[in-house]
Amino acid sequence: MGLLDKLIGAFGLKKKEARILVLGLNNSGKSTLLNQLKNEDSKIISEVVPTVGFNVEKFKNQNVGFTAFDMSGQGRYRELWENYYKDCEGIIFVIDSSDKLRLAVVKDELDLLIQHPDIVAKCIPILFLANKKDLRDGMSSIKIASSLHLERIQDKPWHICTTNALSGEGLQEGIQWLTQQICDKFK
Amino acid sequence: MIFKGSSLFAETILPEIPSAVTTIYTDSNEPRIPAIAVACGSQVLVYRNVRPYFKFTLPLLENGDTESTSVETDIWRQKSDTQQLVQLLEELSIEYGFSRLSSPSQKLLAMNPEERENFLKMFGHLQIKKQVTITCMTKISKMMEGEKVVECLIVATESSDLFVLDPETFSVTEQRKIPGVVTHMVAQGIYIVDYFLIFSVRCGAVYKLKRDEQEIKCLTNLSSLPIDLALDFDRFVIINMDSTFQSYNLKGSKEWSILLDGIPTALSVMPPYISESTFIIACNTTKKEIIEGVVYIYKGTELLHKLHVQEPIQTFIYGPYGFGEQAFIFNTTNGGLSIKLLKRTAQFGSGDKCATLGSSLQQNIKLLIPKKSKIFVEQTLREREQCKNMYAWFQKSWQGMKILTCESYLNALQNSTVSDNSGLKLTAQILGLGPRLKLEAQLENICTDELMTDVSVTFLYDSEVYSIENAYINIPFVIPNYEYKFATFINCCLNISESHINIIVCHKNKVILSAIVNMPSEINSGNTSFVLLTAVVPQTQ
Repeated sequence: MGLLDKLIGAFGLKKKEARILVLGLNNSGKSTLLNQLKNEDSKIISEVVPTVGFNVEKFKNQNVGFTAFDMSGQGRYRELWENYYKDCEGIIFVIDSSDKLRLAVVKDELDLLIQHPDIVAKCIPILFLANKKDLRDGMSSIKIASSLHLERIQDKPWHICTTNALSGEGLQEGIQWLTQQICDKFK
Repeated sequence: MIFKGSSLFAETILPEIPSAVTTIYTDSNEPRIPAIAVACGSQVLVYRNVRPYFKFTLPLLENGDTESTSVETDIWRQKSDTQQLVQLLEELSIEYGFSRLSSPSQKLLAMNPEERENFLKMFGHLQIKKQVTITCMTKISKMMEGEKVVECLIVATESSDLFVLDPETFSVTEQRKIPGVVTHMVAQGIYIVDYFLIFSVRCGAVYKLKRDEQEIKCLTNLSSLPIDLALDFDRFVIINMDSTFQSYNLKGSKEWSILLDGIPTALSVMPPYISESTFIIACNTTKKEIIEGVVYIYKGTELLHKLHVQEPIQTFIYGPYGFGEQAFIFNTTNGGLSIKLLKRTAQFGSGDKCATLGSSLQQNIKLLIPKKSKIFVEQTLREREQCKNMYAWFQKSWQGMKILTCESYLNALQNSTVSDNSGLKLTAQILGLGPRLKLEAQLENICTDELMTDVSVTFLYDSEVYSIENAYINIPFVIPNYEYKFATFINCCLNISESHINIIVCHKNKVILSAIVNMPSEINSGNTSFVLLTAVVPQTQ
C-alpha cells in the first residue's frame, strides 16, 4: 500500500471521500456492522435498535473516508433505497445467512437493485456480506452466492465474504476489498 | 409443532386431537411474547415458551341436560350385561337425542356389536360425565385497540354454548346459549367496550351476536354449507360447498357472489394496509383426474392473481411471519408445508373483472340505447295508438310459428333418415298370424369406430288400430358390428286393410333414424306375411 499512498500523494489526492450505501433486509445486521466500523469513541455500546428511514455514518479505512448511508431494511422503507442509487460509489449488501426463508426476498431485492436504471449503467463495486456466521444454521458464502445467482453480475466487480458483525470477524477483509476497488477507480 | 423460519423449532404432544389453535397475548408484561392457545376436547391449553402455561377446562353442562345425564349414569351404574345396556341406551338416545348422550355412550352405540364387550370391560368402571367439546375458537382484544394487546378467547362448543375466557384472571367471564353448533366464527371490536361476533352454524345459517344485546340476529341462511368465513371491515365473506364465494354486508344482505373454479378449502383477507378488500382463496380443482390446488387472489370481485400448486391444498393462513414479511403458508393434503412470501413490489391494481352471480354487475352493464330517431318516435306513437291490433297480429304470427315448428318436427319424425355422425342399420320383421303379432328388429352400428350411447327405440302408430306392449325400448350402447335384437308384441284391435308402423330410433332427444314397417293387410286371413325392410343410414362424417 505504501507505493499506492505515494502515488496518490503525488497526484495531490491525499484524502478521498466515497459515498456508499449499506443495504439489506431488516434484522440482517447493517447498523451493527457499521457500529463495528466506527471509531471507538462514537460506538453505541447498548443494543442496536431497528433503523427508521436511514442513518448517515462516517468511517475511515486507510486513506479513504467513507460516508455510509445505513438504509433501513424494513419493508416499508425499502422504497427509499432507490433514491440514493444515483450518487453512490459502492454498495454493501448485508445478508442474514441464517435466514433461509427470506433468501428469496433477498434475491428479489437484489434483482430490483441491479436492474434499476441508476445502477445498470454504473460500474460500482458491490460487497456482499453473509452476516451472522456465528449462528449454528448459517449458510456458507458459496451457497448464498449460488442461490442468489451472483454469477450473473458480470459488469460490476463483486465480492462475498462471511462476517460476524458482533465481533467484527471477517469485516476487515470485506472493507479492504471495497477500499481497493474504490481506489482503483480513482486512478 | 412450532416452526421458526423454515426449520422445526419445537414439538409438543397434545392429549387429544386439537380443534383450533391461535396465538394470544395473555398479559401486559414486557417483552411482548404471545402464548399459543390450543383447543383440545373440552380444554383450552395455553403454552408459553413451548411449555404448558395453564389450561382452561370448560364447566360441565347444566340445566335441561342433567336429567338425561342422571338417567344415563343410573343405567351405567346398574352394570347389567352388555345387551341390556345397549338396549337401554338406545331407548335413551331415542328419547333425548343421540347428541345429548355422553361420549362413552355414543362410542358404545356406534361400535361394532362384537367390540362392545371389550370396551365395557376396559371402561365400564369409569364414571359417566358429560363433556363439552370445543368446535371453534377465536380471539378478541380485551381492553384496547392495537397490536400486541391483551386478548380474550371466545370458545364455542358442541352443546351450543359460547364461552368468553379471560387469560388474565384465568376464568370464564361470560357464558351464552347460541342457536346452533358453531363451525366458523369471527370477532371484531374490544371486549369490554363493544364488539360483535359473526358465526356460522352447522345448518348453514349465519348469525350476528352483539355485546349488550340479548337477541342473536340471524343474518342469512346460506344456499350451501359454509367452508370458511372471514371478516373484511364492514362486510363478511364466505366460501361455500357449492363453490361460490359470497360477500354480505353486516346487515346480512348479499353484495355479490362469484362462482369459483373448483372446491374452495380456505379463505383469508389481506390486512387493509397492504391492500383493501383483497381476498385469498385456496381451491382444489380436478384437471384430467389430477387434483391440484389453485390459489386465487381477488380484489373485490376482480381476479388479481392465480397461483398453481401441484398438490391439493388442505388449508392455509396468511399474515406476517418472521420479520414483517407478508407470508402465505399452506399445507397440502399429503403433508407438505409451503411458505410463500409476498413481493414488496406487488401491485394490487387492476385485474380481470369476474362475472358475479349477484345483481350488482347486472346493474353496471351499460345498455346500448340508440338515439331517438324520427322513425322511432313515429313507431312509438303508432304502437300507442294501435296496440290492440299489433298485439293480435303478434299473437297470430306467434301461433303460426308454433304450427310451423310442430309441422317440421313431425315431418322430421316421419322422414328423418339422416344422422349426424353415425351409421345405423335397422332391419325389422313382423312375425305371426295376428291379431297378436311379433315385431322383431335388429339394430346394427355399421360405423367402425363410433360407439353410440343412449339410443332408444320407439314407435309411431295409430293407437286405435294397434297397441304395442313394449312401446319404448332403451338400448344403453351400441357396439359397432354387432346386431342388437329386440322384439315386442303388437296387438291388433281393429281389422284394417292396410296400415303401417313407424319405428323411430332416437339418440337422446334427437330422432336419428326412422323406418316404416308395412303391416300385413289381412291379419285374420291366416297368411303368414313377412315384411322385411332395411333402412341404412349413410355415414356422414
